[in-house]
Amino acid sequence: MFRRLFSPRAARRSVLAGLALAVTLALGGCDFDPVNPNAADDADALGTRDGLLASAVGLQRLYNVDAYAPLVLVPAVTAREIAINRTLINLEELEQGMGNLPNTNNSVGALHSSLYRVMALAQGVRQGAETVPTVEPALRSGLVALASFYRAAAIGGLAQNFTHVAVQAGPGAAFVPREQAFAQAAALLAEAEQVLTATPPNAAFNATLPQGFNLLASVRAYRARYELFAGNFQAAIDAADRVGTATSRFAYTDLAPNPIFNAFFVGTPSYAARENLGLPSVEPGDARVAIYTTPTPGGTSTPNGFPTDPLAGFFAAGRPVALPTFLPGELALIRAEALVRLGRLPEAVVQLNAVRTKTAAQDPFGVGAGLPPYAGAVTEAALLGEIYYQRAAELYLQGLRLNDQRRLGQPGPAAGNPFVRNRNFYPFPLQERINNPNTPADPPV
Amino acid sequence: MRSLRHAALLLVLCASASAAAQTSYTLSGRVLDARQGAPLPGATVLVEGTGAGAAADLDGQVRFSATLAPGTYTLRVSFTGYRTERRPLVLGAAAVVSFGEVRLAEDVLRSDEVVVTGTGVPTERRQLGNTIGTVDARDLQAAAPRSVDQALAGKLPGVVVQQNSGAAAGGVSIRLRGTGTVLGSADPLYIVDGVIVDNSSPNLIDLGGGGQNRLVDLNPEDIERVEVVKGAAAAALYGSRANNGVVQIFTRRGQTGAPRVTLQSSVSQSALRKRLAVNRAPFSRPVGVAGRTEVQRFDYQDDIFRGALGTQQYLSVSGGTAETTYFVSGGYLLNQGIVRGNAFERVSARARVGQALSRALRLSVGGAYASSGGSEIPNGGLAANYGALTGFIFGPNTVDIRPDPVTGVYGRGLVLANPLEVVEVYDFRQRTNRFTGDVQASYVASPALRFDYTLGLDTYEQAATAFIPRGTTAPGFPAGFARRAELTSTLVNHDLRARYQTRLGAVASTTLIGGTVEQDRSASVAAQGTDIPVGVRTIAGVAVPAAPGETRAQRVVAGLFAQQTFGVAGRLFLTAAGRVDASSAFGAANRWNAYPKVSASYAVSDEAFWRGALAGILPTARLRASYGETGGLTAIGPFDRFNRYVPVTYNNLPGFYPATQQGQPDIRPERQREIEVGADLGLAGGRAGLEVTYYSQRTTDLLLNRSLAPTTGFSNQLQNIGVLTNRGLEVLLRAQPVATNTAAWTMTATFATNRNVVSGIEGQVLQFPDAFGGFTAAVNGRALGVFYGSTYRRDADGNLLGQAVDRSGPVPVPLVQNGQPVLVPATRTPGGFLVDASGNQVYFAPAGPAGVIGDPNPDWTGSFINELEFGRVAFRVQLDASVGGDVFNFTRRLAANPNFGTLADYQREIEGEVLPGHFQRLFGTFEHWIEDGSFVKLRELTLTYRVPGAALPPGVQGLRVSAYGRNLLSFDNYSGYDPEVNVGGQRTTVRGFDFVETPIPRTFGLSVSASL
Repeated sequence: MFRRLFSPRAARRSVLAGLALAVTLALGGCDFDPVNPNAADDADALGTRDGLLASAVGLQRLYNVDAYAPLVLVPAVTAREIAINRTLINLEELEQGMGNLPNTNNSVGALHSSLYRVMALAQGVRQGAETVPTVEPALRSGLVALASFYRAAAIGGLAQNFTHVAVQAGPGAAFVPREQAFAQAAALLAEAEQVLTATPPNAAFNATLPQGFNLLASVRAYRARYELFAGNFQAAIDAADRVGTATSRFAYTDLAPNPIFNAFFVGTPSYAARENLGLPSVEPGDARVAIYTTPTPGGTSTPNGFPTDPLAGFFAAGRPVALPTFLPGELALIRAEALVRLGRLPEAVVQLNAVRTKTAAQDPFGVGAGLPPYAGAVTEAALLGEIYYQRAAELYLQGLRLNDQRRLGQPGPAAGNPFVRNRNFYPFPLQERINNPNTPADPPV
Repeated sequence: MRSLRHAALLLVLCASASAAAQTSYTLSGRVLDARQGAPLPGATVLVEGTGAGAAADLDGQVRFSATLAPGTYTLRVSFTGYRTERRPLVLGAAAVVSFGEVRLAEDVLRSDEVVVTGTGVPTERRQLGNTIGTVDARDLQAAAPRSVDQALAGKLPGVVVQQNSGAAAGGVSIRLRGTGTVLGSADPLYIVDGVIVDNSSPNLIDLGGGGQNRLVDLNPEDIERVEVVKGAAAAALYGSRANNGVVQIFTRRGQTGAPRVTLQSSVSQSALRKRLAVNRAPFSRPVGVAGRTEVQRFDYQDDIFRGALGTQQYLSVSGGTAETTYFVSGGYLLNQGIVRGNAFERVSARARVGQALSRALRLSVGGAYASSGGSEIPNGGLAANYGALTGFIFGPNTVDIRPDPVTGVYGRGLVLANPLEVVEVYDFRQRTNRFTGDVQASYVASPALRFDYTLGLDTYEQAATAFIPRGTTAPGFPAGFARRAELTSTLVNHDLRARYQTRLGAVASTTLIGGTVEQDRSASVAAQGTDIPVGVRTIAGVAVPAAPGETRAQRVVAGLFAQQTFGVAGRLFLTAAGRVDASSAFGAANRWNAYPKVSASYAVSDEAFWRGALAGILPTARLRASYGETGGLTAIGPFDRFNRYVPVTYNNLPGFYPATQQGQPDIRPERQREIEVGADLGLAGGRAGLEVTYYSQRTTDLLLNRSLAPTTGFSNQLQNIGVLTNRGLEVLLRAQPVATNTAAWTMTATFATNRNVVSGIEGQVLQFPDAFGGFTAAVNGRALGVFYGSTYRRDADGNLLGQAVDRSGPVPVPLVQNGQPVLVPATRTPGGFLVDASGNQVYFAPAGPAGVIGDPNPDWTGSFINELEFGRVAFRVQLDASVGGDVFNFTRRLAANPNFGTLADYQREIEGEVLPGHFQRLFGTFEHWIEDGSFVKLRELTLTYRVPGAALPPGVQGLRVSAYGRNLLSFDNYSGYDPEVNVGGQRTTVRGFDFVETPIPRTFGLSVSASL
């Protein structure tokens, strides 16, 4: 036995076997697909039930905090609701507008990229909700509806500012005209509404939503908004009606702060509210000017010297203070506009008056014009003009005015006039153009 | 039947006829130096093709036993630095055989040197189609280096060693044939005795600039030799890890014979080599400038720098029998930094035991432990700005920084930290405990067939702490700061290789096949906070803790390789090799990558036609050519292929969303293709050797961050899109003009050029954020790491434009008129202002547009080493040169600014030599602050005396006394401390950036070495 073991041949064999064993052990220790312990990957985030719940939280953060700031503030400068108040190149380009706004502008870039991030994540959450087997139906309905809501909000937000929108985020995304994008957003919300009413979400899903955020009401209100923009007037009226008196809020905390408050009150503020909400004139007695701002003589913006007033209202209430997902006044104004477009002018006046005569105390968000009923001409043109004014004052800093100006026949860019929009649509960012051959041509202005 | 089976087995194993009747022989002899007749301890004697052999003892005696069949063999006698001798050995009936005295001649060409790096099997250099650099212990240890990388400076062409910091354990970067990556580390792969070792530079605490690199844990005294493989042409067998080249370090091993004890002790003194001239003007501002007051000026360099002491103790014991050899050593190093409060200490121990388990099976087990660390003082302002030299340069130097004699509060009023307070009060420490070990087994199945297995382990834990008490001048930390960070790293590698050698007529064939598995794991944790109570130095005491951080990484690389070499008639050698490997860091679709290599070496002087006239001029001539491919993975994070979700909170709930950088599921290694051609020539009757090599490298699939269409939902992604080329020439000349038995003069000169060009950068320019947001860049068509910033304003012809101010406002004027700079104060108005011919004030123009303003990469590097030996006295001097590289003198730029005004530049402005506002205007013209960083340094100087035997104390067999110096002089036109240091530390893309990094000191030392 001893001899056998130590015979040259046996020794050779045993050594070789030992080496083979060592190699086998070494290769056995080869893990070519280690899990990243430092961060979740797609499989964790979108392929598991817990990951989808965390992604649902992240999706809300991404839109409500990160994307909401450029969505509101960038077009607010263009539509003259606010003035830039800091000499940063991207802000100066934005306030100059017209041909001075290059496709490398960072502010426009942020508006563009952050909404596509929202869209991409929303698509992922929806796909995960529909494919992960451990997601129960009452969770699935909530996730699908939430994802659809935010994807629609991203599409709608882009269509308000760009001529074309890629309605499906991803490599080599294709663009559709903005009218089609609004219709797509409305369709997503219609589906979300159906899913939510058919299978009300369970507690597991609802726990991801902050207090005050009413998903169903938000879906219906945004549907009303985009149906209107898409030209589906009756559908817009119906959706607005289904909201009823429900309200909804984007909640904020110190760690996920109110982005409008941050932009106006934290650090070196980049923006200031324009005097009279940036309107050339306001109707005497319109209480909303003093609700949204604190009229103070003498304030001017840097570097362009526009008269400014300190921002007030819920925007100024603090970092952890919620913002309305939509304002109740918008629903009445959607109905008014849709009724005008449908030729039902007297009914439109009723809706207008609901906004005109509303006082701050009657509004869940404290927004009230306190004006007498409408006394102007009941013609389509006059009513649309009045609707524009009411939307501008009622929906101050909701990210809507640029689109409203175009839709409601307000005059377009004019050099030297600080009361008309300085662009109709934004140029597509250069980063998109050089990396996506489908990028449409830039609008002239 | 039985013999038939036996024969069949022999055929299978291709063994020779060694299985015939064997006799046990005892062989003995002596190996001596041919010139001096001195013994050559450590020289090896081998019976070729049998594995039998031994090493010479202290007297050069060799004795070993071998069981062999009678016959004629070849005895090979070799020693590092000497020409190998081969002589026939006839074994007959006598069992005791003496082969007499073998005298080895010094090998100037080193063509007989046996190397293993890049070839996998011990191979004589003459058989290689590529250059391989080798450095012996003697050359490395001449001037008592602190670390092996520092010691490699100037030793080989194409090996650019840069000491980035003069701190006690300041980091060192090595570039082999230029930089081969952008996003990853460009330092070579280090292998110690077959173990892949970590040489990262973990900046666990923010020391302002660079930090240590972990090669500092290795005691250079333990090293026997170093082999350097510079590029893909030679390194294909290292596959995906070899784009930056490979440095293999061999530590000392035990040798047969009585115990040999070496005891070594040295002391050294380091000092600042050059001081900066500080502003001595007695006024704060120039005449006529608001705020001019009388001030007292100080030179804070007196408070920061000191004469620093160092000491090193080393003991090694080695010996062994035919079956067992051993080597053990222990060392202690203390190196004080020239910045007060900075010191580095290293305690190290190493052991290796070799054991023959049978005639065929040998085992070698080695282990090294090091505990290294010390106290640090932050300097340099690239990252945190609380350093001592940072405080000095921001000044202003009008504050008495000493503590108040009553309250003890340090002087206030500096822009940043009070440097005296930094060196006296801050408590920054690092400590690394490291074990590196290996088990190596070799099995000689037959004289032709051999198996080798290596298991390597390198593991360490580095802990760093930072503490700034409350109430100091540290900017941003009025209430104090504490941090603790720890890193653990473990590398394991398995290597198995089989070698088969045979002869097919006149063709010798060597076949190698092998496999490797390499696993890395690391984890780091860090916690820190501010607002710390008095008396507490730990993070437990902070009132405002920051969220603790932890990251973990793991990676595996596995590969298979094969190599076939044919040697034709002993003069033409052809090699083809390849490796396929895979790494967990690569995308699944690109996981396996193949790297081929071919090379040829042709000893043309061995041909018949060479004899005669040609041989008279060039006694030996060898031509070589090599092509190879390698990969690079240092730019690839272990998890870069995944999308990463960033934790966020919303509504006080934890959630996440995707990072803006998209994962790269198809990530693959950067790929280098290199061709090198060269010649090794023996000149002057073999007394001089010239090695010339030209190489051309092209690294494609270079990883760069590429922007994405935002409609993808991401903004950027790592992509394999860039291209980097390195081309250059390397020349190595070794000569021995004088060689008698009492005197010798040996010289070595190296020269290397490298031209590096980047392409494939999106948008032409990629500015690197870690140089203050972009003062270094990759620019298409230029070398990597060029300086990028505002240029001088120039007219269309490239003339510098100044600016005159007349009634209409600023107008451009040429800065040079009639060949004279306008700024020279030729005319002064009564107000003291410089005016041009029209009476207008002249200023430098505001800065021009941003562009490339300098290039830190030298045009050429070289060295010149001379060794003179007269009897018992030896003298060695090494000069290193680096020519044509620029340095961005950010230090001077800051100190010239009127808000700081610490250095003599601003004194010139105060005294009216230049106009008020001159340096304020130049502050934004970055091109002005680029200087030529060319230097020639007196790198090493050693004077050694060997004490004669008669004077030796009893028991002492040899005694050497040396005086040495390092970095004694620098010949340069650089205005700052040192053109060599770099505040970017070991960063790949921040080179040549001077921003108050600790300068490299001038060091003198005395060393005594005794062998017992």
